[in-house]
Amino acid sequence: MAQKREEKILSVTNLQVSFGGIRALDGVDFSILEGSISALIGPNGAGKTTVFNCLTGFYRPSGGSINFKNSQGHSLNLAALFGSLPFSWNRDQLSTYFKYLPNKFFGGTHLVTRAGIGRTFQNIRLFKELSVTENLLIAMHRDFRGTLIKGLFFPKIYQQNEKKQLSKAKYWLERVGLLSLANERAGDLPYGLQRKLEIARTMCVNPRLICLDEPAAGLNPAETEELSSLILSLKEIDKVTVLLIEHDMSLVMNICEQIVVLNYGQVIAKGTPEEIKNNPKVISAYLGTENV
Amino acid sequence: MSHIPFKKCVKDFLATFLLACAIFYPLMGFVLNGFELEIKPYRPLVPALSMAVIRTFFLYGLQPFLQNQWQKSGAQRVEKKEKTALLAIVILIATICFTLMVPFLFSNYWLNVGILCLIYILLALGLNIVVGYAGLLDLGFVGFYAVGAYTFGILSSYTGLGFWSVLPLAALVAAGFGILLGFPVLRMHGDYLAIVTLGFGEIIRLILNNWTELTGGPNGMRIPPLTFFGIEFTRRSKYGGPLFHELFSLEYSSATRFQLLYLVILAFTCLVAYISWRLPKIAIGRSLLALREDEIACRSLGINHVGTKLMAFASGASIAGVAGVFFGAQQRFINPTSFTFFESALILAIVVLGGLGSTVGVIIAAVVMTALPELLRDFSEYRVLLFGLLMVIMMIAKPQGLVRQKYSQYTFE
Repeated sequence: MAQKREEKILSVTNLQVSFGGIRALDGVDFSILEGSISALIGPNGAGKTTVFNCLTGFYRPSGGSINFKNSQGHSLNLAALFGSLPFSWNRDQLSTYFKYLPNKFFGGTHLVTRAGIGRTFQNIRLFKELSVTENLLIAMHRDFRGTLIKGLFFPKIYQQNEKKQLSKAKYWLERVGLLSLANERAGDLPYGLQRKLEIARTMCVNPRLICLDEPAAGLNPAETEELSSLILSLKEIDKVTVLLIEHDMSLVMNICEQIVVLNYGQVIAKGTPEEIKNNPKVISAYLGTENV
Repeated sequence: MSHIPFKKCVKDFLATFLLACAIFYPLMGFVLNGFELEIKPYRPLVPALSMAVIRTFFLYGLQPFLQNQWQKSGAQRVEKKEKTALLAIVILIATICFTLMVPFLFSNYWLNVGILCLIYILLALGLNIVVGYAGLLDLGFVGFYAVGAYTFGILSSYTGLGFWSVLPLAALVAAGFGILLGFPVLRMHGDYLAIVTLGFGEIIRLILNNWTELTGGPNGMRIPPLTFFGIEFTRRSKYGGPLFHELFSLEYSSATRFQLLYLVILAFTCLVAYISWRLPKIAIGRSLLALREDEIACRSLGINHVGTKLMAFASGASIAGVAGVFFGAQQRFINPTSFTFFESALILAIVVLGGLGSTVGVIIAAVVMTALPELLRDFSEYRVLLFGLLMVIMMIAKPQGLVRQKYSQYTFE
């Protein structure tokens, strides 16, 4: 089968994060191919969520770089979005430097999302007091730009405009099987559906890379099964690259094409599920070394 | 159409009635006549009964109209079902008629109470955007009110600007102060935010109190009388221009000025109330709600939390600033004692009592909390006690406030 030339959508080089004296990440290197499903695994405290927080702009790395291929196909250094690029007199870089400089002070996390990296959270972070549909509409807030006056004073016209977003919300509610619960309070949903809603909500910001932080945590086997088919459909139907942190090894081994194993803030193995399964380093990280 | 549960209805009615009696009897049942204490057993029945009727009506009378929202097809919001809309319109028209007639029916005193009510509605709606929608606990809201009032005072005494030109300027200045407060508290939540905003309110009051050269300090500032685009309301012309009552061939009345002021504030309050009601239904308002629910999730969805927070502060502050101008125009004299922490607490109490994020509830609560003290003038010393009691009872009975904020309902084809 002729395959499309595979391109890296994300490459992380020598990523370092330290909190005080603790090195949470110590030179993490990996890259992800566009349109693949990859997993980031490792024992507790290995730094998996820290990697996610760097990818999605919640932490600023103390070293290394994260390059993301944006929708125009350019490689974008995420550090640029935070205004933490090193200063240089190069004309191109100078304009980017000043363009993003304010973000150094006012935060630029949302810009990462706008660039195309979406994420979910380990402990679900839905807008609990709002309805399921509102959760999705909030994610689509970018599509509502410039509708303030219309929304306030011309409700009829606004409703016409809103139809497009509502149909998109409907599409996603159908995909995750929540259509009949569209007007429920999000916090009232059962846990499994909250997970799905969070994924649907993240998909509503049109990400090209979606980072799922332990999506199967707290789900029963049937729900995990549904989740894995949902994740596969994200890849196949929506052409989204998926990166997930997961402790459920059967899920990881079944759907992932590439696995990165972290331990103590360092990458100890990378490869296909088969390679990882038989890697002695991984086995020792998870099970401990044999005392000889 | 659903059936109204009559048993529950009667039960609730009686409970409300008894509770209202318990409150109103000690307050209205005894009248001090000279040195004699007269007992008037029927007087408190009227407010108690009307409270019970109103509450029962809101609890049960509206229910048939609120039901069956699910059946309409089409991917549009089920916001205005015809019957609910009809009822809402009837209530709205009745309210508007009444509020429009207030200046012409009541005495000067009650007219001023009405103006004060409207000012507090404005303040509460402004704070509702900050606390109710965006979830940013602001204990120094009175600072922006003071900024608005003093902008009027300073601009009018140093540059001679009048009410109408100061109005938008005060909104801008107050919004600027809102942003000024917004920056340092960007990363704060809950208790810390409350303390910083409290400090901010006090700083503004202390500056006004101590910068004697600019603000007159504790002596306050005079505010020029309200004019109708330069036409004076006085009996005799001070500057030789035409007079309002001569121009419109009316009989001179000292109330005319307040009638106009009332109508202006009413118009502005209606606008703000409409915007505040509409806000959670549109994208910008929804991002405010999202910010209240979960800031981290907000950022992960691409919402600019800095901008959204600053917008919340600025819009709340600008409404308070305008309220301050109205306050100045009504009182014609401002000094820092009008802008103490007690005012902030009162406004916050209004918002919490009315129901965080609920426009209608906040308006009702503002009217009650402003009109009640005036009704109970004779008991002025016990007013705060009553407030406390009312709040404790409310918080036990209805922790969500008078009217709970509802999220919009959507249906899909």
